[in-house]
Amino acid sequence: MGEAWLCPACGAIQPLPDAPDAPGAIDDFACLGFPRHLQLDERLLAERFHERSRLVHPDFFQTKSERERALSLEVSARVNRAYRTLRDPIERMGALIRLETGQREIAAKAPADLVEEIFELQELRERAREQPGDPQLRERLKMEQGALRQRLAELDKELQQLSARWDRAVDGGGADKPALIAAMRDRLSGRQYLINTIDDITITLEGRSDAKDRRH
Amino acid sequence: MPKIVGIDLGTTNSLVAVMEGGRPRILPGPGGRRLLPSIVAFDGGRETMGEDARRRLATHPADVIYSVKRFMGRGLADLQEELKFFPFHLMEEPPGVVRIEIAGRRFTPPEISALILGELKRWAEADLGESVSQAVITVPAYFNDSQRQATKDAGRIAGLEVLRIVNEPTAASLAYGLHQRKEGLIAVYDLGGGTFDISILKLQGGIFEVLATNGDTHLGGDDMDRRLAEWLAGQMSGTRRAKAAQADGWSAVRLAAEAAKCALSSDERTVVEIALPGEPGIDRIPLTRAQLESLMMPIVERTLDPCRLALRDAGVSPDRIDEVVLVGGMTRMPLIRRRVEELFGRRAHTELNPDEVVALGAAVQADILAGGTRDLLLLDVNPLSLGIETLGGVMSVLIPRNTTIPTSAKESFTTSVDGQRTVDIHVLQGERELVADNRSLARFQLREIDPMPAGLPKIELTFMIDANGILSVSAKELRSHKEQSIEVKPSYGLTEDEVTRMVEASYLHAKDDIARRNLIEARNEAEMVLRATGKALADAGGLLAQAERTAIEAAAAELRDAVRGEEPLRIRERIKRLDETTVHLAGVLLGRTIQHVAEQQTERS
Repeated sequence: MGEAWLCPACGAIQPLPDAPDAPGAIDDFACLGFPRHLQLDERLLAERFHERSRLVHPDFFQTKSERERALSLEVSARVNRAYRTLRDPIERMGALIRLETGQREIAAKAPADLVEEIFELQELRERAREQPGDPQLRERLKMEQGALRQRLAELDKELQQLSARWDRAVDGGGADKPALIAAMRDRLSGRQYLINTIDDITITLEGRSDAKDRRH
Repeated sequence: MPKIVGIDLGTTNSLVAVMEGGRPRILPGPGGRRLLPSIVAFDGGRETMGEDARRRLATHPADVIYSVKRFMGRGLADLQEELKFFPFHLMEEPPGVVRIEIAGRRFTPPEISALILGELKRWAEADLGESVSQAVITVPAYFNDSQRQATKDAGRIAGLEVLRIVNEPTAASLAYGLHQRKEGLIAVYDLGGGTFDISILKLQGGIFEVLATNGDTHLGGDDMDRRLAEWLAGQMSGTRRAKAAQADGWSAVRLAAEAAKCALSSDERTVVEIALPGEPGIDRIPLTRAQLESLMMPIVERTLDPCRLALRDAGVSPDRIDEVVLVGGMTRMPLIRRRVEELFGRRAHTELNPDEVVALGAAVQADILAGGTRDLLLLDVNPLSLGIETLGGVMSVLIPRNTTIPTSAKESFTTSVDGQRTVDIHVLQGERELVADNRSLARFQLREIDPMPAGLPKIELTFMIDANGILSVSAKELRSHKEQSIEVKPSYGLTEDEVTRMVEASYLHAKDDIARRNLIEARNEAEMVLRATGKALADAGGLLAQAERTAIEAAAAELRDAVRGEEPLRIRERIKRLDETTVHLAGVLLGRTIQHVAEQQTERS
């Protein structure tokens, strides 16, 4: 299979250049044998994950040397992380952006066209907290939440289109890759902001305080 | 090659199994027993395990420990709720290490579990005819790091190298998968004596991938027994009720409750009979299955929320589940089957014995590790999110729950004050936002950081969760190019040194133990033979010549004499002699029985 972590001659497990800036570093895509595509077939992804797990999982190294056991633990953890990232389309896109730009965090940011609406929404939440039983306020909050969910669905559709364009660009379609990355980054920031806001409204509606009682 | 055994170390019962010829097999103990009750009794400095210990529970409850699994890897603060219901005397000594005081001695929970594991080890060695030193031990999927570590230590103290800690529902799925060879999504509902787990798995091409797991390490048959015992005590008259609230009285009521609960899994109604120690008279309390179910309903409902959460985390709806597997003795209760089948909308599998399936799966995993089974692979997850404390007492997650293990995460830390030499790290496990609501796994300090302006040092921590679900942390200072790393193992109280001492002590005692155990077994056997002989002599009446009777009585007296001594060989010798003397008597009695049966048949026809 030509995996970096298996010796091509004897098949023994090899150390992994894990640091992202290390020479020969393996990113999540390469780890499971994919090009940096965003539209990945779920079944193929699971298949590759299972294939590699059979090669590197610690269960199969129990009777080997201590060094090989330690390496299998490390490599297996790496493969598991890659699968976790790639199987979720949003995580996958985040990983790609980090790889292409070298920036680690993608912070939540209000979509530019929604700034005014969101300001009004904050006021609405404030009032709802002060008068928790007010049916009119609750109704308005629910409506706003519905509108945000709609907006989120639109964003997801946009992200799908961007993913398709990105894959064509990778395959040599000539589109401007940095511009696509910037567009995706912008949409992901907005998306995270929408999700946080929708959660906040739920918390207000349920009359909970913000941090306490919240599950991860 | 030495065999690796699979062990189900349960709250109520424990089992040991091994893979032979591609099939797992339960290794039975003396008398063909497959289940070892997880009970340890202390009788004048010597310990007995299993059935013998259970018998002592009825007569000397103060000398008996049961359900010790509930105490594994937990601090006194975690156990306050439990303590209301257990008659044990617990203390922390030194702070952070829970010890149970019993019969004038103090034990940590891993030491008690080690006694149970040691007994299973002897069962396995007797059956296999070779020594056993390596094992796979199962734990509830929802066990946290400390509880897993404590289980591993218990194995070491018992003289077993624990090659893998496997989650119980996952082990069960291995046994089922091997049995059924099916593909698709399965839900494993595991309700045991003290813990509840739900796991959602995907089976594909021999890979058992856990998608999500959830549960409650504080919910099980014990709670049901307790609830029923409380109700039964409430049905008693005032004075007897007061007696039932005392430790030995409560033990009697609890045992009666347990028996009634089991009986009502097959019968519609029963009468619970309770005799309180030292009190004349017997309470007879009628109980129907419907009454039991209404008492148990709230407890059963508590298992359904974790099921829904696990489904949500796995990203599947109940109707996409292809198979539902029931594990644990409690799932024999018709109410539980009904509620689980309602939730998933399909009939549950019960082909394999719910008491045995976990041990069978552990044996399969043991065989995978031994290099025998190559086509199956378990990919399990960490049940609880792992993180660190950040500003404001909030937990920041590094590895979310239901991440496939092994897994690792890296996090960089720096200083906030110029010249700062140390950084405190607090590792947490749990699902809540605030630090105080989660379990503290470890606190440690990064030391000897070179004095630098604030924010300049860069310390990289690596959190690694291995295939056992157990965490280790290592640190590296990157900026000063100090390549020294530290290793941190979260501890539930017992230090490495202390465990090592316990392991050594158990080796020293092992020889003693075998001799002592030989004596106990010989004595038990002698008593059984003496009882049977006494009864036979009484039954025989005039059928026996006086000379023969005298000879038998003499042999019995000699055996009784040997039982008072300390030599197992002498006891066995005299058992044999008594057996020889009674051969004729046994023949006479057997002949008479056959004659009786024949006569009765003639009368009937």
